[in-house]
Amino acid sequence: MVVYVFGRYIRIAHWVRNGLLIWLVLSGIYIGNPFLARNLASEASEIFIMAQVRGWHVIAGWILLAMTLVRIFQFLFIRQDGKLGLGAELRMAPVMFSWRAWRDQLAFYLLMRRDHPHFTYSNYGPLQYLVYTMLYASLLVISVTGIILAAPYLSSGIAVWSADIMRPIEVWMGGLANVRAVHRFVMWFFILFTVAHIYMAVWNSMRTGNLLIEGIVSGFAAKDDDVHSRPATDEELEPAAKTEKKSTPSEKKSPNAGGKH
Amino acid sequence: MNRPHTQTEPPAQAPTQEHSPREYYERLAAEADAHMDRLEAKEPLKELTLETLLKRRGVTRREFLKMVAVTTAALSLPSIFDLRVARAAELATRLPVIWQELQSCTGNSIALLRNANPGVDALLLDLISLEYSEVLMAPSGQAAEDVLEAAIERYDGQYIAVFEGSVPVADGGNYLTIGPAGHTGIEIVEHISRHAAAIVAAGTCAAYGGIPAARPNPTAALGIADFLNTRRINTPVVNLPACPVSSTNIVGTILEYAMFGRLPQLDAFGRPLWAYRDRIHDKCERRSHFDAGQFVEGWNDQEGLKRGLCLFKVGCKGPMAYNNCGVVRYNEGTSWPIMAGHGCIGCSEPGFWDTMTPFEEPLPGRVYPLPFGLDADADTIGAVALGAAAVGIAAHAGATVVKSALEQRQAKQEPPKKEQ
Repeated sequence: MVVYVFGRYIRIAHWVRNGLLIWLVLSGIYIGNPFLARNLASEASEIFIMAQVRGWHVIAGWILLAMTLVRIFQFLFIRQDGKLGLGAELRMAPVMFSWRAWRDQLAFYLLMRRDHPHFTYSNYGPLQYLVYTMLYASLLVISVTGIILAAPYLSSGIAVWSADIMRPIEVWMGGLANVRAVHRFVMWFFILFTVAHIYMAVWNSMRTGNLLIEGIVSGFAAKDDDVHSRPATDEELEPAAKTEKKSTPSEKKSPNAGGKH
Repeated sequence: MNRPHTQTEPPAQAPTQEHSPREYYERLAAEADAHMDRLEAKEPLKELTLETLLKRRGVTRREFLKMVAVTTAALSLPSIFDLRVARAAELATRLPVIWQELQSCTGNSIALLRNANPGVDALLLDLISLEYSEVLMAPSGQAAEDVLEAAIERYDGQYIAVFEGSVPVADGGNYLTIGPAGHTGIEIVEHISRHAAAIVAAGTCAAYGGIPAARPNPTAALGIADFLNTRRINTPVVNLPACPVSSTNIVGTILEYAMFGRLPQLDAFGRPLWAYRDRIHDKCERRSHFDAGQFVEGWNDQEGLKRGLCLFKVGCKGPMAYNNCGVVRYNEGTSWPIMAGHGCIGCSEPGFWDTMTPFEEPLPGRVYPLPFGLDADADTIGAVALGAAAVGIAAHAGATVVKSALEQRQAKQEPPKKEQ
């Protein structure tokens, strides 16, 4: 049976972020070492290639930062019932400090156990929780360094006054050159994250049949209890196709349904 | 003042909403006049007047006033200060200065002295009462030491100490010893700084450690301000980094001190805002080519070089470096690196050398030290990590395929268990 796991905002935000990151990496590489052919046919006063790439890089960065802040707010302060309070996801943090959770999760990824461990108190596995926390921390770091790098190009505005507030960070890093280096390294973290994220999502989806990949598009993924500990067979896929229409629940077939380790 | 950095020392009368710019500068002028009146009441420390000096060096009044106007403009002061700067130059004979070389190449003194013409800026070295300067003074050995001691004693708490070069602290400071008694740099800087009214760190080495402090920094070189922090000496320091610092910035700082009797507004790295508010990039004559994406592609790119395109791709660090080179230029305003066709090397930034090399490649080319001699730049590190991830993914995917095949074979042989 499939359940609605990813809301509309989460799905849209996921793909918008994906697009923003691709653009930010490409334009960032151009800003670091411009690779486009120069146009000498026009006067310098008529074309603004670098200025435009930089401008859209900064705009995309601000959008990404805004989405990041919304997500962090949700993480910290939105409870399970949607009201303000101590965030539901923040309460899941103990999974990161559970030796048992790490053992089960790593055993699953290292093919030493067949069924996906899941945790009654957390939507995320310990590795997932750690990596996503790092991802959002990195998004903040790259935004802060980005603002510090963007501010000298501007005479006033939000970037200028926020860079003034963050001047101690610039001093601590040791000047714009180091800020730029940090910005570059965090970019590589995102590239690595993306590659690992895609592989893990596809692998998980195939290995457990939890419809994760489909879920981030449609919003529907397999219910935890229905996650099979082996690749779906042809017979299972048949009724699964029907469950696209929410109304017909798939044939409940769960050899490990009760056996959550 | 539309974009203030963090200020370490706010001016006595910062422009506020209540003050119009006119009112602000009038107050500032009154402050300067009051201070210079006090200074004028003091005995001159040498029997030299500006007039005789100009005559002796063959500098016309016109040339002198040009220098004054340039300095006033560099100090971001309006033209009502022209005559006040000239007066400050005149009164500079009442300003005791000790110029101490440390772990340095004396390049900053040389930049000030070695002008093609009888340098107008170098005038200042004659004007100020330079009590001690290894490069310029006649005495040597014990005689020189005696001069220094006498000056410190006589002008206790009044003199400006100009330091050139870094302080090596490794091995008890033994990497730098000066004089017949073999005083270490540590002892000298401590001694001079404790009794100084203010300190000017001239050049990047004095400001941030500079080239001697580049990795692996065998002498554990420190900039003056960093060194004084470790010794808890609170004498105010003005950093004038650059390699060498332009004469306008040295002259301006000293004249400003003569004019107001206090240090200028500083940025977060201790540099005067009037000189280091904007980046090289912001005042660059090739900037329009940067925005247009027109770059010199390499040192063989004759067309690009001839057309004066942006030097970013051949390693210009202008976007990362704060200084006013593009405005005041070097060698009496003749030229400066970017005008001459080489990118900025960012010599006025903290961490200069390590953070700015390689000089002829954009910043992503910076090489980081890694263990086992595997030094690499950020992109190589990233690409290797990505390659490792790809290998890991391939291995994991392969293992999963094999494991799944084994599991399916097993599942065919055994009927599925009801319970786990």
